[in-house]
Amino acid sequence: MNGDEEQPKVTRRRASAEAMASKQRDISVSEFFTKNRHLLGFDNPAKALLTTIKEAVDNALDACEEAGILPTIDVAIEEVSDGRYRVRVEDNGPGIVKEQIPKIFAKLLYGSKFHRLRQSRGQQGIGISAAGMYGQLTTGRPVVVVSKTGKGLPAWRLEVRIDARTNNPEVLNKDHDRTVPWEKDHGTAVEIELTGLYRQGRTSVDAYLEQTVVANPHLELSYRSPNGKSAHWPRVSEQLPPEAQEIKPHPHGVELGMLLKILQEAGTRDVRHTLVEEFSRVTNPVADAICRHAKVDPKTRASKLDAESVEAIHAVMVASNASLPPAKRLAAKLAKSTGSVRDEVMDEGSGFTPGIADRVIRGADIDPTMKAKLLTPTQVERLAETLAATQVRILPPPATCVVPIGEELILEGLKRRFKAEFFTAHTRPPAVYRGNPFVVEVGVAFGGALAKDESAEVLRFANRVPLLYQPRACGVTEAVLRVDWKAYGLQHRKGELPVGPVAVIVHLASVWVPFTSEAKEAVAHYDEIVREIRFALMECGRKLGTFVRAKEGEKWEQERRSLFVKYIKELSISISSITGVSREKIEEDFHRALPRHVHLPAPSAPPPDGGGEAPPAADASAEDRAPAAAEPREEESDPDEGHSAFAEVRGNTERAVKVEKKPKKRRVSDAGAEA
Amino acid sequence: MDARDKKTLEKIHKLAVDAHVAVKLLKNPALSIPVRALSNVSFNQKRRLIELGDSKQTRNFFHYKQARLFMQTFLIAERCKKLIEEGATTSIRDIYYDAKHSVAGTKENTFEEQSESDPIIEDLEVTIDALREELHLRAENKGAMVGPISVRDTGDEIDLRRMGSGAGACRASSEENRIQFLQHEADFVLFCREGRGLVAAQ
Repeated sequence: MNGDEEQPKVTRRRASAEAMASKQRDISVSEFFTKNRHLLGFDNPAKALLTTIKEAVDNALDACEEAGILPTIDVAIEEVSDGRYRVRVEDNGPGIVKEQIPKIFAKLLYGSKFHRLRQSRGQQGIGISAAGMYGQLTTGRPVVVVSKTGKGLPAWRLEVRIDARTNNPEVLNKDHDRTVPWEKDHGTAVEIELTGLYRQGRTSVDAYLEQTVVANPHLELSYRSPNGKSAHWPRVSEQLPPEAQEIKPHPHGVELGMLLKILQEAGTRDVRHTLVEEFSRVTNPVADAICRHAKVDPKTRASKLDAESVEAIHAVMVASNASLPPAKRLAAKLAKSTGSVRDEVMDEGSGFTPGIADRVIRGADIDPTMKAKLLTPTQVERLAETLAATQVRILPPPATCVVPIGEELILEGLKRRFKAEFFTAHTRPPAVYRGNPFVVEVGVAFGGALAKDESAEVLRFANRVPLLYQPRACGVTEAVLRVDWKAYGLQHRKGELPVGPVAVIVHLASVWVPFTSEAKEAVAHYDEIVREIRFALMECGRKLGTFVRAKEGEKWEQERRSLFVKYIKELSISISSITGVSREKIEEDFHRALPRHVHLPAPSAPPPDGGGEAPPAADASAEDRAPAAAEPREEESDPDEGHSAFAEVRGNTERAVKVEKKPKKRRVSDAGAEA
Repeated sequence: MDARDKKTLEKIHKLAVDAHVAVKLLKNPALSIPVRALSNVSFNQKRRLIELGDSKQTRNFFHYKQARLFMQTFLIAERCKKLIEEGATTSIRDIYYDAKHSVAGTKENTFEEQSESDPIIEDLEVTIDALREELHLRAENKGAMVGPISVRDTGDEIDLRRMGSGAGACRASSEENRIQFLQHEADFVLFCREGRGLVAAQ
């Protein structure tokens, strides 16, 4: 018995190469993603519903913007049966040519955005077809697409399905050659049926759409949710964002394989020309310098280069992006270090790979494995010099390829989303990570209806797309955590989100946003990116701090004022009774002096002379005062003037809180007299 | 109303007028109150008395922590003015009850406790440099005197040795126009500050 049971194991182990070969075959991408759908954001029903809508809306927005059309998008979700939803997203975009429809919606890794370096929401050409495939997998229903490319042209309706084995699209409806009536001039509507879960909360479809509206002020969006509620967000900006320009790859960020491909496909061109023509920011002198450093003749045919030469060119390109701290600071840091020179150089510098680090260190006649703390100051200097000598100065990529939302529109977006008292936004100048230019924008809302005792709400956007999942894994969140919010008047414990009535939005615009996964949920922690976000947050924080302090000052002054008002009447009665002057006259005199001693906004108007008017009732105690105050008095704060006046308030809020020594002891001379 | 009363009234009047004038000029009305603290007393060898020094503290109306005290000071001043005009005298406890009411339009009292009004009365005394008696106020009698001493209290001679099992009360005001020490056979006099006892012993 035992022997029988072990038999299969033995045979399996002894599978011949030929037997194995019979089982070795292609894995289609579709099959791969059927198994690994979590990579694309379809791990659970709730997320699947969101991802489907997200992909459809992202595509619609990209298409509209590329075609220069102000986007109007309708999103409708309908619960067909329990746990089964029909999602329909309709746009007014340029439409899709009939022949392309099956490939776009039912073929994975097919699209226009992968092969170019240009800022767009979609990047890979997986999203919408993956959504369609998910629907097909869970409900068996095909994707229904209706599209029309222009006025007077026919609209087509196609039911498409993906063949998961071959990654090829199939058109299912026989009548796909018949046009269908559609009142729209142009546009596309896509309908996907899938099993999902509709729910509320931070990661809901509703939250995604709300946030999309914040980052896309030029979007008009209608939404009908499964529970029958509908919402409509009108456009707040009639201006399309400026078109992002497509750029060529920048030498700093290029990978070896890509360089190899570029050079091999160069045809008859020589190395110099290929570099100049295929890379951004490479001019003839730069190309020559790269070749000189790589010891390659710039006049050789690019396609004839051997592997070592290509590698040398690549090394020069990448090394040009490496940098070390100033020699003095570096020497001080290395003196305290524990690791080898190689490790420390990679830690302290930026843009180093082990290969580059070794080359530079060896070039400076230093053993990369020796302890870094043993380096002499001259050796450290030589390190910096060697690095500089191996580098070619290449300008950072042009920023025209990155389109920020803009401070003004971020403010508009924030105001659309949050009922707050204070809004501020800041757009950083373009920066570069790994050769990719990016721009960071930040907006902060404070006060008003925002919850006072809860953690700040952080809305993350990448290329105008809201990121809802994995906030903890995101570089944006890290940047928010690393700002010292206490300095700006918020409660903040290290390593946590600030607490207070505050909402933060962060937008990262880049040609290539470094996501941590294909599901595009979190931004990778690149130092350059985290630093830029932090700086932008700090800039907004400073403005926020000014506001918070001014508001505290104002609150304090209001409190002082109502305290004085409370006692004026009592005091006037006493003084009147002693001096014989009428109580009303005394009260009036006190109220006239009051604004001089309470520093509230907008006290610019001169005190009105004479007249028997009493000031407006500022609190309960003032209610019974003579109601002659028809005209608003200067101590009433003007809500609209808030901001400008705060600066003034701040200056004057030196709080006279000298500790009052309350006299408690008996009169001392008394005691003496008794003795 | 005698000359002293008139003088006291004038002082109170001036205090109120000054406050009103200041506020008419949009200034912050202020009271200048001599500081009653150990740091501001010195012993006068000649008069053999502990006297207040010159340092003053300012009490403003437009000041978050002083507004209430300022109001209270005038409330007491007003009551004292009435007492003087009516020729009546009352205790500091009475004046506390008399001046206590809720601040117009609120639930807050002008004085919550007598411990709040007592120091205000002292403030007023030292501010206008008037004795408590001149404000027609008296403190409760506290303490007792006993021993071989005779005093004259508003005309009556009292031998403090002949008080039975009790003792002579220490009057709240022991100014010279009320109490004169007649004679004593004491070798030393023991003065206890707390409880204000005075014991003369042979």
